[in-house]
Amino acid sequence: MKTFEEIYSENYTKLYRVAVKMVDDTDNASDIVQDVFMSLYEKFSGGTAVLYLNTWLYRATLNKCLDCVNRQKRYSSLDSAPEDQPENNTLEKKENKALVRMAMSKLQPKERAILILYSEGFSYKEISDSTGIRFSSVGKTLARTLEKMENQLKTQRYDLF
Amino acid sequence: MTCFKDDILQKYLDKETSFDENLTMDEHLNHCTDCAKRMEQLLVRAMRIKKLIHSLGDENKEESIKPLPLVFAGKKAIIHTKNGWNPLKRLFFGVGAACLLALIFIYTPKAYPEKSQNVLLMQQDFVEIDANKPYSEQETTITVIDPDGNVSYSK
Repeated sequence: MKTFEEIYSENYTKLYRVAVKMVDDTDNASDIVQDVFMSLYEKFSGGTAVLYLNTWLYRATLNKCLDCVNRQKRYSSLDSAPEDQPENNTLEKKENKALVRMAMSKLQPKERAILILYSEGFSYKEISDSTGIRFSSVGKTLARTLEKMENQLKTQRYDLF
Repeated sequence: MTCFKDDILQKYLDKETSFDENLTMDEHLNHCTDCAKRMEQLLVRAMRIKKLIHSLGDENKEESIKPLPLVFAGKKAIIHTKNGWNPLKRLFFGVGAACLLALIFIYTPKAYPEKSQNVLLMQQDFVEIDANKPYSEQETTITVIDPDGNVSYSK
């Protein structure tokens, strides 16, 4: 049994990290995480119980991220201003990040979610619970996604691989 | 044995294979250089991709936890992470169930032993044995007890 404050401080950073990787925008990521906690709070205020809290949090974050990505896609033609990068990053690092973002944008949203959770060290079971992909399919989807990612990165810059 | 596909090798790398699969794969990888080499490539690939994806979050390291929104402040929302049951709620339901059982127990009419429907026959042979008569002609007393407990005799 935990208080809301404890859950918030324990999970905020983890969810934020996943959200940033998914939506590629710090402001949106922050809003998404706040939104997730707001939904959780409303859920509990309404007396609804959450069986697996971590799974629920990640699933809610990923779903909200996917919504955000879809919204971004819809309005990408209207709002195409490049995001400001922190000044302390070297040019090469910036370039690599841009390449990774580009490669990830070519993936399906679910594939991107799998890859991000995998990079966060999630087990296949946790990935399956958080993304809704069948447990038996996680291995295959992950292998396929890694291959796609590798091919994308190789096409853009061979020396990354 | 045929070589394993990438997804199986990836599962093995991620330690997600079952015990039996592990045995089979260990055995295969011991003598198949192609699979061993491919697995090494997959390991490097996974590590590189993980590292690259991690780099996306690096720039946000300085991002500290945002303060809890005011809506939540001061409110002690208790969240049940294990089974979703509030201990207070659980206690309430437990006591309720116990009371219900007690009421059922108290108000259920006591079960009395059922009245016997059987007729009891008691035969008493050779009340007075007459040694001069054969067995078939000996006197016999039969006691009949009916379900109401009435006793009757016949000779």
